[in-house]
Amino acid sequence: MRIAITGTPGVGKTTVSKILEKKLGVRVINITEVVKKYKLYKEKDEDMDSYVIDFEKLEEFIKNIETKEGVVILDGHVSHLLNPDYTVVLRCDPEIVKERLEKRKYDRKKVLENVQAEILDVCLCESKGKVYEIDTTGRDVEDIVEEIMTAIKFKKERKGVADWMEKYFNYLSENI
Amino acid sequence: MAEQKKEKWGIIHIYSSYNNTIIHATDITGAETIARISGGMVTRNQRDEGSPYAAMQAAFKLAEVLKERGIENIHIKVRAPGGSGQKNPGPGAQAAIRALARAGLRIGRIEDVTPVPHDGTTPKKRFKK
Ligand SMILES: Nc1ncnc2c1ncn2[C@@H]1O[C@H](COP(=O)(O)OP(=O)(O)O)[C@@H](O)[C@H]1O
Ligand SMILES: [Mg+2]
Repeated sequence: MRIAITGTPGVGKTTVSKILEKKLGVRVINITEVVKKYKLYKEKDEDMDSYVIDFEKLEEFIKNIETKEGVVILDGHVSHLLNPDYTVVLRCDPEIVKERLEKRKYDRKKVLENVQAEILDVCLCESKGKVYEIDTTGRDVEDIVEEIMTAIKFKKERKGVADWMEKYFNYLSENI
Repeated sequence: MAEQKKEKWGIIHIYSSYNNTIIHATDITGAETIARISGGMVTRNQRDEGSPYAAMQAAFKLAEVLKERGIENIHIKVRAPGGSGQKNPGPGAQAAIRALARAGLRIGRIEDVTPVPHDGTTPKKRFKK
């Protein structure tokens, strides 16, 4: 059984996943970490400064762990693409995402592309099956974790809580 | 002559999110906005703003404005996540493109420039399917 915690980089997936791991006693796979560590990628895209994920290798890796553990939580912005049984999509105000990614020293193009992805609901649109969306803006981590645990327990479904496009259109019309 | 050439082609940007669609027309250089129409401007209920129907209505309205300006040819840039298996643009964008064609505009290039969320890893290369 796979639970995906997805959303644009910077919305708070890893922060929340670490606490979920402790509280639920479920193994968390940080996708970016394992892709890099076990070389589950095809190549590096220098322009994006990012490794292009090899989904076949990643799927095999996850399956091995899932077989042993029974339940796994997938932490990452592609987790919703790995055939999860349940998906939690985290959202966050695009300007806060922008600040957080700038703190990571991502270059201007990388920050902008992620901000645009958040504004356009990319991860939400790509998610299939049972999906629960949470706007984390201005909320405490503990509070968000509680909501996620309840959602997982009751397999709650909810989509359409964030609507950034009109407010942040200026970021969309900038060229990457 | 150069002035005329600049007039006849325009660029249409289709932005399609989960809740809304915005269609934005510029001149060929991208510098001048000709019109911008959102799903919210053509529907009554907020829940319909992102629907393919709203996208279609917005596209038709925009097509009228372009034709009034003497622009008959357009290139299209699409930013629309979702759609089947993430390969095709979402349903809102598809409806908008069909409407633009039906409105009589000649369509040149269609580019998918949907942003790809990425940190140290990415699901795909930038602007490639
Ligand atoms: N609810 C929250 N409130 C305040 N800061 C947060 C919250 N969630 C995450 N952060 C901060 O935002 C940054 C990005 O969070 P992170 O969990 O690494 O994002 P992701 O894994 O989605 O890329 C971190 O510095 C983290 O401390
Ligand atoms: Mg993370």
